[in-house]
Parts: sequence; C-alpha cells; structure tokens
Amino acid sequence: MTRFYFDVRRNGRLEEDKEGEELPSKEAAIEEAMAAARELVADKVRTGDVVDGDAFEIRDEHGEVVHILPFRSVLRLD
Amino acid sequence: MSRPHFQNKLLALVPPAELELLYPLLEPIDLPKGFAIATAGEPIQYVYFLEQGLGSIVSVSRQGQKAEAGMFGYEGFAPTPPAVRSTMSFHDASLQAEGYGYRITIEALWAAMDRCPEFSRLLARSSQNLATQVSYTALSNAVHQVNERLARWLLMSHDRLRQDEFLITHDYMALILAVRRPSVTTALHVLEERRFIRAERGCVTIRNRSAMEHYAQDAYGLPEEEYRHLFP
Repeated sequence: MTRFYFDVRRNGRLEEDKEGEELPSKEAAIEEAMAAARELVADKVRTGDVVDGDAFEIRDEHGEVVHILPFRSVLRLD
Repeated sequence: MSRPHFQNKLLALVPPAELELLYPLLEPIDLPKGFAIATAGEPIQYVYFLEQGLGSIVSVSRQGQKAEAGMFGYEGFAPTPPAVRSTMSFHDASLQAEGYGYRITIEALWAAMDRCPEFSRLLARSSQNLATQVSYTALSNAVHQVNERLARWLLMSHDRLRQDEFLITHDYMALILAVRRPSVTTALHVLEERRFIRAERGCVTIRNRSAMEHYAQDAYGLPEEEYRHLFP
C-alpha cells in the first residue's frame, strides 16, 4: 500500500491534501480521484454551477505528482 | 435526595419525584471513542444518556454500504427503539467523540416509563426530534452540495460538542457524508478558504460559526428549531 495525496488545483492555486489515503496502486489512486471528481462535478451540474478548471494533482509519498485529473475529464458526453 | 446536576437535557428535565425512582436505575459510564452502543441486526440491551461526547447513528445496507443517518449528544438519548418497546437495532450507533454519561437496561427503562409519565414524554419528544433531524439529513443528501452538507454536519457537531476543536479524520467525514475522501478534503478547502474553519491533519477547528450558519442556511436550522419548540 502507498499513501497518495489528492491536492486540488483551483484558480491556479494548489490546495494541499494534508491527510492522504492508503491505496494499493497508482491506478487505484486515479480511480479514487475519478470517483471523487464525479461526485463534485455532479454537485455542480445538479445545482447549476459552472464546472470550471479544477483538477486533482495526485502525489505519492515522495511528493512526486503521479497524475493530474481535471474534474471535467470525468464527464462522458458521447 | 440532593438532585445531581445533569448536562443531559432529558435527565435535567425529569421532575424530582420521577428522578427519585429513575436515578438508582442509572449506571454512570465512560464512553471512549468508538464505543458501540447499538449494532445493526442485534438486540439492544441498554439505552444511553450522554452527558458529554458525540454519537453517530449509521444506516447499514445489506451489502454493507453505510451512511450517517443521525447524531446525538447531551441533548437526547440513544438508541431510541426501546422508547417504543422495540429491542432490535436497525442501525449502528457508536461514539464518534469520547464522553461519558449514564446507561439503563431496557427492562429498567420500561419499568421507569410505566411509573414516570413526564420522563416517558421527554423520551417521545426526543425521538420525534431525532426523526426530524434524520428527515432533514435525507433532504440535504438529496439537494445540497457536499460543501453545504459538510458545513451542516460541522454545525450540528459543534452544537453537541460545545467546543470549537474536534478531532476527526477526512476518512471518517467521508463515511459520514457517504462520499469519497478526496471530496471531503476538497469541501474542507472551500470552507477553509471562506475562513469558517481551520482544517489540520486529523482536526477541524470552527473559526466563524455565524458565517458558516449563514452559508449553510438552507441546510441547517429547522430540526434545531423543532428542538427548541419541544424543549422550551
């Protein structure tokens, strides 16, 4: 298991995830970020908010960014 | 008998004559974090009156999916089924923040209820208010954003804990709100940016309650209004 951190890039600023989460692999971390982005985007869509350019920057325990997931990338439009 | 000073609102409202009968049946108990007061699918043995601490009532589906249905602290009692002579729990209930209080066996509770009409009415009113709380949690889960639901939950916890700082992990808040952990972290950032709270590792501090109440205004306050109506 590895501890992954899900920082959020919002309006150019990085909001740090101070707790992180133990997950078995990078793929599992991306899956977790996608599931959370779906919840957050669904909230915005449901209440008529703008789905903007926020993104998860997934860090591993060494501080290296292993994946960037824009929230809007979870929208399936076709 | 000199009347003990209760922090629990229900015990504090029991009239002296009824308290004389009830008090010897109450057992003082320390309630550490995680202490299980009821388990879904199992019989209930005791009813608890918290003096301090925060309890969480969690619904559990057959496949093990969980979400918080309600919370209780010094303002009420739990589990509530014995107040209507039911002995089976359909929820997990446990201490989310440590505390202490009193417990009573359900047999003793029923004996006391038979002879203490005002005590019985207090239990009925408290159960009613919990039902209202749960119904507004259902509304909030259906219509409000995670940010507002988190604000609502923090306000409700603050009401019951009566302290600004609570030790709680993002993992646990994710369970409570039935969302993924990174969604909680993101919502905490939103509330922190507005300076309602300070979120540190394993700890949330309320900084500006009234501003957070204003922010959560559609999600917070009606069950609390009913409580004030039921317990003037």
